Amino acid sequence: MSIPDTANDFRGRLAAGSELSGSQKLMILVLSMTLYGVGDLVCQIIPELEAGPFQIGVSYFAFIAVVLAALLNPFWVALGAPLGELVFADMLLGDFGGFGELEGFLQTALAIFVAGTLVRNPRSLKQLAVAPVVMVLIDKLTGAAVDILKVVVGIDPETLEDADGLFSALLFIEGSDIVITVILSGILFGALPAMWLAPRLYGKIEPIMGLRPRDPQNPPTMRGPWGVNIWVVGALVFLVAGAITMFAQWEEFVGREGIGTFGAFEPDYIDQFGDFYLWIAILIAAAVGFGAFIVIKALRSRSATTVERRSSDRA
Amino acid sequence: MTAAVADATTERDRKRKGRDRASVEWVKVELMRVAYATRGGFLARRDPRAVLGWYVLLAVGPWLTYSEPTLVILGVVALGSALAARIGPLLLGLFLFGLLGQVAYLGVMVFVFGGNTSAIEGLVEVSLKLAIISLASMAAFVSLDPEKLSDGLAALRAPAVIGFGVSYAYRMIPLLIDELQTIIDGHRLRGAPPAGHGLLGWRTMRRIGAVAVQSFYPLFLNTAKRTRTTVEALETRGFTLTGGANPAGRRLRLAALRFTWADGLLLVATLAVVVVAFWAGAALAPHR
Amino acid sequence: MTTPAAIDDQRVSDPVTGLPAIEIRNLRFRYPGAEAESLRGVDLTIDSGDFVAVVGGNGSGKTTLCKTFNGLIPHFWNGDISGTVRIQGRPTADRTVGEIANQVGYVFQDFGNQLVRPRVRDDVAFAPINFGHPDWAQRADAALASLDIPHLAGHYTWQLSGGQQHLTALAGALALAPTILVVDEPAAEVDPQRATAIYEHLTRLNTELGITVIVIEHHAELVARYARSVVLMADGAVRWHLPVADALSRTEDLEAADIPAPQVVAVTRALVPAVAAGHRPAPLTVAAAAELLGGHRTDRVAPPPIRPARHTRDLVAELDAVTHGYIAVGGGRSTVIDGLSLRLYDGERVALVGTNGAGKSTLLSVLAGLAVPSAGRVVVDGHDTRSMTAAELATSVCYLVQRPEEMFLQDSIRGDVAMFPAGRQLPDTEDIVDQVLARMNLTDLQDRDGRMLSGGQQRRATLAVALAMRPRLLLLDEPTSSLDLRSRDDVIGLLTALSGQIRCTVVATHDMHLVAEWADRVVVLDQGTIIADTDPATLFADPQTLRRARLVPPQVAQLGDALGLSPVPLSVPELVDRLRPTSKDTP
Repeated sequence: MSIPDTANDFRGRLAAGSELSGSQKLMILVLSMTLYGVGDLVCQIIPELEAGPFQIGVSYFAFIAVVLAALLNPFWVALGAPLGELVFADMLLGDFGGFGELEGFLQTALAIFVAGTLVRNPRSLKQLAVAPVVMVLIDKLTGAAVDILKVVVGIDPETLEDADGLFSALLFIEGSDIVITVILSGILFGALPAMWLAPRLYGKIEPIMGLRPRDPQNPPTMRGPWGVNIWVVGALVFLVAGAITMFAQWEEFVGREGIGTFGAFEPDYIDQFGDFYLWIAILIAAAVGFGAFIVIKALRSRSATTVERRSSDRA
Repeated sequence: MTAAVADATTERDRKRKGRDRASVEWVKVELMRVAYATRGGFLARRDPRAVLGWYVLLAVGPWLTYSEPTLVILGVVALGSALAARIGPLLLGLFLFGLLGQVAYLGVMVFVFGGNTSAIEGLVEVSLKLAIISLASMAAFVSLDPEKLSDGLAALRAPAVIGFGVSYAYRMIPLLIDELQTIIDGHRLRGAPPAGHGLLGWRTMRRIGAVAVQSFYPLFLNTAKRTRTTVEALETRGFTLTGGANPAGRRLRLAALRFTWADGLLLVATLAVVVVAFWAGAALAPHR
Repeated sequence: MTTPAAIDDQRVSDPVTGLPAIEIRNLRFRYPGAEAESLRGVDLTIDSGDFVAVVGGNGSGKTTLCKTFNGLIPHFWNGDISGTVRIQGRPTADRTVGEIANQVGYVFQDFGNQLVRPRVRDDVAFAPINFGHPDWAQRADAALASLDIPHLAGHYTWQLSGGQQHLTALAGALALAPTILVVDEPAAEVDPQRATAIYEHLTRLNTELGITVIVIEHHAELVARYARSVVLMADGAVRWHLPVADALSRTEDLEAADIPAPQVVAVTRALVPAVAAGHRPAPLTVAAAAELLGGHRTDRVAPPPIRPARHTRDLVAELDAVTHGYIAVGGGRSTVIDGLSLRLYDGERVALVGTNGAGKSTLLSVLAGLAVPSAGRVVVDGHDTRSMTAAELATSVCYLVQRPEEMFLQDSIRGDVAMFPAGRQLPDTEDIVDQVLARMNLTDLQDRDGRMLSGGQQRRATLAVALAMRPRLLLLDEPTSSLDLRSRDDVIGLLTALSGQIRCTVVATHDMHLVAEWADRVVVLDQGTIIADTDPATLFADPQTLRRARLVPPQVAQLGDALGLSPVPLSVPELVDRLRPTSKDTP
């Protein structure tokens, strides 16, 4: 016999750790891409109800992303799900929006990541109910901010100065859109299905992929392979929450003053406006920062694997 | 697309006309057709990088000016390109319908909130800019089939996983739709029968919604199983998350891309058109 | 445990490297979180150029073992591992799966999920491009050519039949020019003729290109015909590794591993004492068995089969000049069923056979009312399917689709069984469910998710779903595909037992054993029309129809035919009974 019976090529191997391997990350990414992408297609098949100017339709199945992010590693789900929307629905249907897709990707990724970290125990109905609503709010608020920014940048400053009512109208539209989306996508197709689905899948879907179910005592956000600090996430959430508060006040103001004083131009309108700009800037900065964060982490994990591979080659 | 799909669904609800399952079948085929069909058009034969460059020129241009003549010229160019790229009447119709609807709605709101002509002018301006970008993106991305698009993105150093995602989505959609269809059929046959439509059809809506959600329970688990094999196979076929394909592999994949003189010409011509538009804008509206 | 490798003595080494293809010593592996080890001290040597069949019961560790060959274990599936795996002398421990893939090609059991690119040629070229082989185009073309599928190069992978998908997956593995090829259950999901074709390809790769082929297989007939040596896995270790003839004569070991002997072996063992005692090698092919049994032609005339007198029975379903098809992506409509008329009667057990794409599944969905035909009329249980929704028809017809996991809509077997009675608010739902579960022997499993069960249990669970619907007409699509033979026999037994409850059962199948042992009527479809409507024995003696529909009768029927029996026998006991010599002319 050429090999002695006592030979053990695998002696130097470390015992399977709790960190995700590259292939497990890829598995999570592909799974969330596929499911969210199919969900997006189904969304388009569910008929939309048009009541007057309002289009009441399900814009996306928030529950799919939230359930996946609640059960599996939220970071990779946050990358995979918007990618699914991008390639399954948008690219394949020839509905690819170019630069617009990039901003959509970042918004959705941020929203899913935050929502996923909120669910520390996939059996907790309370956390499952909150997460989809938070997801929709983050996604829609950043989206609204970007939309408004587009108008601000897109209109000649001179015209903009005289453009009474445009912003009120815009805010009203974005605001009503957010309310409808929170109800339909955040609650009806978000919180309710997530509360039904996540506990059923908990402990079933993870072993299929060779993963350990999420431990409520030790949710993955506390210490991830890419060093996500809970404080970083907290800071992001805080920023966004601040924006939400600010926006709510602003909307209230417009709602009362705008409609109450038809045609009248209030001087402090401009002041509020300045603040609002600031918040938009902060939101964009948060989104860009998150994007940069993702890129840096991805690069770092890549170089880490290369080092690993090199060292194993040497061994 | 969406409207047509909705049509098919409502028709199914109304009466059994032999389209029952065929309507789902039709949706699937229609999806495949949109995804796989190559319609031709002037951008279809161009190198994907050239098409992306073309798109960038037309997408960035409008943001650099507030001159209405310039925007109108660019708009005409974009519309012409979209038609020349054969984006198909359905897509164009939906786009125009959506754009006009949005503008009209926004316009009504502006008046409700006490707007003036300046507001309307601003509205038209920003809508025109958004329309140019949409038309350009439709023209560009309808001409690129997903494979070509992912090659183009890979050439511009986008992550390899995007290219993989496109291929994979391309391949999996028919299977997944089939599977979803079987599962939904199962719910229709074995679940509680519909108890009437209810007020404004809310029962029907609830039923559709509930079935759609419940269908994802089996789909989650079945897809997880599929994914496991797929990723195992990817590993054996040299595709990993961090590496994607290795650098030599990337070069091989992109070796088929050829940036020809015609591609260069396209970019130069487009740039010239944009410059002319800006010049015309300045000439026609000297007060700006 | 017996000697680990009886053929070590005559080992053939690779002419170039002088090393065996695969050498494994004392390999142990445990999946993370699992209580028991999946591999417990495997010792195995596979020679270069061998054609090895790995056999073993469910959970014996065959797939786990094969995944150590290309490093998926432990590099993909982490776990506690010790021992040695060397491929042509090189350990797998310090290499990546990707590197090893250039030595060991792997085709998975669910090969469909292995294909990741939209078109066949792209998919085949995927790996060579990823690894940066500059000659990727030649490699892809050579791989396609070696499997005779260059004509598929431009096809979309989702449009391929199961057999074509399998060949594409195989070509994708071959494009890396591996010297070892591992194929997990190549025959599980294709019709017998295609299974044969795949094995012919593997044989050619083995003999002409010198590739070492390793298959996981539970069809003893295919093992007998194509393999050169057999590895029996039991309890996570290699029980023995023997040349094929020796291996197949160890029928008890094989039976214990749920691999019943090929029918020719079973027949000759029952009839020829020298074979039963092991003095003579068992014949591995029908021709060899026919020669051996040539002297046994006592042939008592079998009783003529009782043809069911159809006109006296109630009509359950009727298709009248039905035409149906689908919209093709390229435009237009394809015609899958073409002007087909068929009547199904009370008490019938109908097998629907034909090639992939002959229209079997479409016919079933038309019968179930899921599709309304584009022309013609379908009447089921007195209702025109045009006048009722599929949901209303579900009280009369039940359709079990091919993949059981698509039937499991709830998170427990009980939930799935209860779905129909509870949805229709039947007053005695709980009783019905309890009864059905008890009858199908599923009471202990009722809280498990169907997907987590074994293949055989999954089929039992779907039959329970059907039973709780109390249909008059039961339609099944491939109820025995990808089952090991023991589970398949269970399913056949259950179907037979169900006939008391369900008035008419129609099974679309490739499985000729199922046809022989269960059906009393066979409808042969080809290109959307019925080319034969008869009983199994008549069909198996009709070479023309068999060829046209690409059917391969069970060995026992082939053997009976070769021995000139008419009607041909349908089961081993029947043939043995008909050939058993009367006491006075014992040899």
